[in-house]
Amino acid sequence: MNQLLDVAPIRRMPSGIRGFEHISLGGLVEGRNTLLVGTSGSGKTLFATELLYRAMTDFGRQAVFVTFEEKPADIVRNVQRLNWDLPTLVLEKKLVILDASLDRTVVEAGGYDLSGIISQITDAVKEIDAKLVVLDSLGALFYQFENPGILRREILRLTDHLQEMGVTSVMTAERLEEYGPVTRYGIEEFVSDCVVVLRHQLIEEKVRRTIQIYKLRGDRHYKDEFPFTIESEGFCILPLSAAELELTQASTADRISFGNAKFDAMAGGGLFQDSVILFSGPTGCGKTLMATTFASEACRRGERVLYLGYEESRPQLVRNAGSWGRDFMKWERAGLLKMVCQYPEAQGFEGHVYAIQREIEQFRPSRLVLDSISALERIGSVRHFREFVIGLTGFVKQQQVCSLFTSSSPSLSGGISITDAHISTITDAIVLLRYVEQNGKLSRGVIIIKMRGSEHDKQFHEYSINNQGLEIGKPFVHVPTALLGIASVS
Amino acid sequence: MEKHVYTFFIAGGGELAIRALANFDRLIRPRLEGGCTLTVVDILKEPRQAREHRVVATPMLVREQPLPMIRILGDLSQSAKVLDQLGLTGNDGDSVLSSARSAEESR
Repeated sequence: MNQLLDVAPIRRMPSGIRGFEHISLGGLVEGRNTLLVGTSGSGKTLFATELLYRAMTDFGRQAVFVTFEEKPADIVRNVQRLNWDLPTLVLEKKLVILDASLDRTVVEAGGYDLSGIISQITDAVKEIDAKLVVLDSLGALFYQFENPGILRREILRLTDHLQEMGVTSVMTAERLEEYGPVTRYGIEEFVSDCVVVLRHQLIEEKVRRTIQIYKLRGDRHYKDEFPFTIESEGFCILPLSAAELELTQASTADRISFGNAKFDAMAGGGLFQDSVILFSGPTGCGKTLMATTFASEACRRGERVLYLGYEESRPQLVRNAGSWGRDFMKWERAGLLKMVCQYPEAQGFEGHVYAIQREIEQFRPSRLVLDSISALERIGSVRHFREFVIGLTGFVKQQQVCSLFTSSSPSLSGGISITDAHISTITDAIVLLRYVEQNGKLSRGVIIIKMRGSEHDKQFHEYSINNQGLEIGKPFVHVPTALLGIASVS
Repeated sequence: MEKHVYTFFIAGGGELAIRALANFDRLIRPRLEGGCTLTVVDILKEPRQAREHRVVATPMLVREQPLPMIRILGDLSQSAKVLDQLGLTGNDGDSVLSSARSAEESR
């Protein structure tokens, strides 16, 4: 019983891989074994190598890489393009690479065990005081040695031994199918306290890579599949739906100006700094004007704003702004405005999220414009689109970047678009822009239909566009169907 | 006269190691004209040797001379395979100590 009283609680070890701490709620389990499984080409070796690299470079933990599959030279070469300099780490005694790859000259003739590699690992761990051991991959062991019975027993002995030494270990193993038995030989998962699954699937001609924490013995973690990309800096896991579950973003009561005094008044005194506002309306109704007004206000105050255009080119944005008396070129030269224009189809959702996150982290804007979010809707499935919006919204709120998204209604008369239906619950404020028919003449109307955490004007205001930009006028009277179609004023 | 140089990597003095060395003495040594040089390396004591020679599993017998180098894994209980690999097929050696027999003896 006394032994049981000494049992230490589970401790976690950050991995340093972008997004992994978030989905695992803390990282790897310290001092235990983690199994990393995936089909061929799912990124296991790279993930394992990055774990190792981050441990050494981000956390000052020495590590041992045991390769059963690739030659050490190949491992070094594979990550050269990421600028991970493994040979230097070896010279600096931060890393030992043990070559246990297939030796074709060996012939089996009788009973054996894996004492060779076990003692090599023990020795290497002691030599550099390693905290992390990566073994890649167990499947290759089953190719090297003929007797699976011996291997099963020896793998158990190996993991027990690693645990006794108190090192954290990561083993990789192959799967034959994306959704099937966890591992090919059906033993490895029993020896591991944590099982991570990497998947890559072809969906609608696009590769979708996901990571799932299948098991994490004794502690909390997210159980869903999360998309990831492999970027120039390594893995990037996008904890899209996790962001929604964890509503821990700091909330402030600070109000900022939209860029129009009348609109601020309608919104009950301005916008919240950490909020996301959706402007929805039919084409030509003034969404870009609203976005320009919002962006210009930041520049006018000497704050930075990031403008992401998915429908119009940079010259078009500059010309539009100029026609409303806003000099985008001047602000861009002053380093206050950054315009990034790209075709939505240029990359998948994961790629877009990653690119936007990078821009925000580097440029550190106080405001963000995304014009338009509905243009992005067509690059993937509805579910992935929703995840994308959730992930992005979570990120900008965490970063306290006041964000304005625009969305195009499917028809001139307005109506609810797919985008609106899927993201209206995620955004903090929703503003509708509509054409209004008045005595046979079209005018424009704006109404705030939702403003989280604040009182707001619930009337439908007329507005016009002139060479000074936006001008909000009086409320309309008697507009029966503002939300659903062209409103007619009697 | 041909030189015979062998290295045997073992891990401690356990059953596998004892059986492997006994099988070497009964099976291989008598077949080598002019005797041989056998170096036994205990990788538990000299793990760096295991790294250097890429010894993943033990017991591992390495024939260094004559060339080509031959590596045989296991306790050498599969005698026909061992002799075939080393090109020592003949009928003049002692019988091999198999794992089954040694298991009986240990009872």
